[in-house]
Order: sequence, then C-alpha cells, then structure tokens
Amino acid sequence: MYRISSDGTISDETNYFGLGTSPALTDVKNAIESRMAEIKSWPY
Amino acid sequence: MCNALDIIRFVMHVLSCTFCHARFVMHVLSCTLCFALLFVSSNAQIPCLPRYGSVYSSATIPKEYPLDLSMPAEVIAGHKALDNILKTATLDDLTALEQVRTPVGNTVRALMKYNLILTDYDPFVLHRIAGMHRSYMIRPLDIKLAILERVRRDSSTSNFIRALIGSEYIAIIKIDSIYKLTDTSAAMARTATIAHFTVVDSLLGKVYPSSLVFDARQESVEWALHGDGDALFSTDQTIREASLIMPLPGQYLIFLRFMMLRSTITTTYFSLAPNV
Repeated sequence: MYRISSDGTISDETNYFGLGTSPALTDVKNAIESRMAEIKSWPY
Repeated sequence: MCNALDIIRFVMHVLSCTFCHARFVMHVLSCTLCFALLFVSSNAQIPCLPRYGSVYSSATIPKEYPLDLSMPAEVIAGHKALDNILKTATLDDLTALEQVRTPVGNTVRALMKYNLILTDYDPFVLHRIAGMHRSYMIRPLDIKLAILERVRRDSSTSNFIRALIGSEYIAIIKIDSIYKLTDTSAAMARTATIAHFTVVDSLLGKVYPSSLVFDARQESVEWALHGDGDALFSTDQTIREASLIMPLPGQYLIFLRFMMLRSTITTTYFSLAPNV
C-alpha cells in the first residue's frame, strides 16, 4: 500500500502500482487508465 | 382544603407527568423502532443515520435495466449478459465460484471485464437493480462481491487489479471544504470527517451523485463491518487517510466505492466510502 509523507511525497513501499517506490501522480494516472483499457479489451 | 389554584396546579402536574411519560414512551418506541428498522425492516426510510450529506438515494430498478440504443455497444452487451446471469445464477453458484482455488480463468475475467465496463459507464446502475425481482435470483452486488472474493484468493491477481475491480470511482478531486462533526445524539456514526469536493478528472465512473461528499464515519464503517462482513474496510482512520488519498497541491487521487446502506422495493440508499 502506498503512503504519503507530510510534505506530500508519495511513498509506494509495496510497489502497489508497479511503478517503483516513489511514483509521480501522472504515472499513477496513466497506469490506472492503461490497466482499465487492457481489462476492457480482454477477449471474453 | 384545596382551592381552585391548587386544583389547577394538580391538573397541570398530572398532565405534565402524563406528557413526560408519553414522551418517554415515544422515545423508547422511537429508539426501538430505529434499531428495528436498522437491522430488520426492509420497507422503511433509512433510519437513524445523521444527515451528513453523503447518504444518497435513488429509485430502485425493479426489473431488467432499460437498454438505450445510445449506449455504447459494450455496455448493452454487458447489461444483456448481466441480465442472463441474474436470471440463472444462484448464491450457491457464486459461493462455488469464490472457492475455486485455481488461478482466475476466462469466466471470472469476463465478469471482471463487464463489471468494469458497466461501472465505468454508470456506477449507480449495478447497485440500483433490485434483487427481489422474481426473475432474478441474485443481485449485481452479489456478483461483484463474488468477483472480489475470487480475486482475493488468487495470489496471481495484483492489488492494483483488486483496487480497480473493487472501486466505483477513481478520480482526481479538489477539496472544497473539510470538517469534523460530532453528533452525540446519533444512535450510530457519532463522529465523522466530511469532505466536500469537486471532480477534476474522472478515471473510473462517469456518473456522479449531484453533490459529492466523502464521508469517513468511524462508526458507520464498523457498522458496515458487522453488517455485511465486508473486510475491505479499515476502522483505523490513520491508515485509511494515509493509504487512500494521495495529496497534491489542493488535489487528491481517491478510490471510492459505494457503501449500500439499504435497498427497498422503491428506493436504494448509498453512501460513499474509501476503497481500501
């Protein structure tokens, strides 16, 4: 799970989003959107 | 000897006591009724919960969801598939689905896919479709919970996927106001942290309640834990705040899910809660 320090820095200790331990919000947003697109395109 | 004033005082005293007694009886009845409504009744208004602004209501959809040709094809396909599942699957089927120990297969993946598509189109819909319609054996919510339990048991499914499937909303929001509230007279949910916010960018869930409020009610969370056994909620406010919201200058990325309070034949009541 990710955590936030008092200065607003993201610390993703468990690599929750698979983006390393200090992801930028833009990267997190892109990861969410691309993962959603991937699931929606599953051929089932 | 009693004079007229004494008699009047006596009558007033009797009336006052009777009124007090009546109020007491009404209070007891009211409290009893509140608890009864909370835990037993299925047809009354949502009782007892304070009006914090984060309890939403919407008309229950009594039958099949009315399809609209303006909907995207994948949404129509999802609703048709959902309708078939609701008519044919039972709770036993969902339990069996949850308990399979092999990695998630195509059936569950298809359920995950269409759950995501329908939720993204309108998160309200899946929670408004009534389970008591005679041709439906289960509710859409039952399917969602089964999917979540199934992927929870599958170690190959990442937490990231679980967060996507388990959320109704993923959004970047701007906090307009935040305050803490204490209501010692409330039967439940006496303390709350209330945040009013504006959606800046919606990643999941395109339809929102008209007035958005995020409500972290400690006791309502406990109620949810005890009420439906949903272990996704944490009652630890510190953990919840640290793990769910990513602060930016004035903006946050937040994962939310509906917390269904209750559903009647005509009305379904929701609140919004963090998805842990």
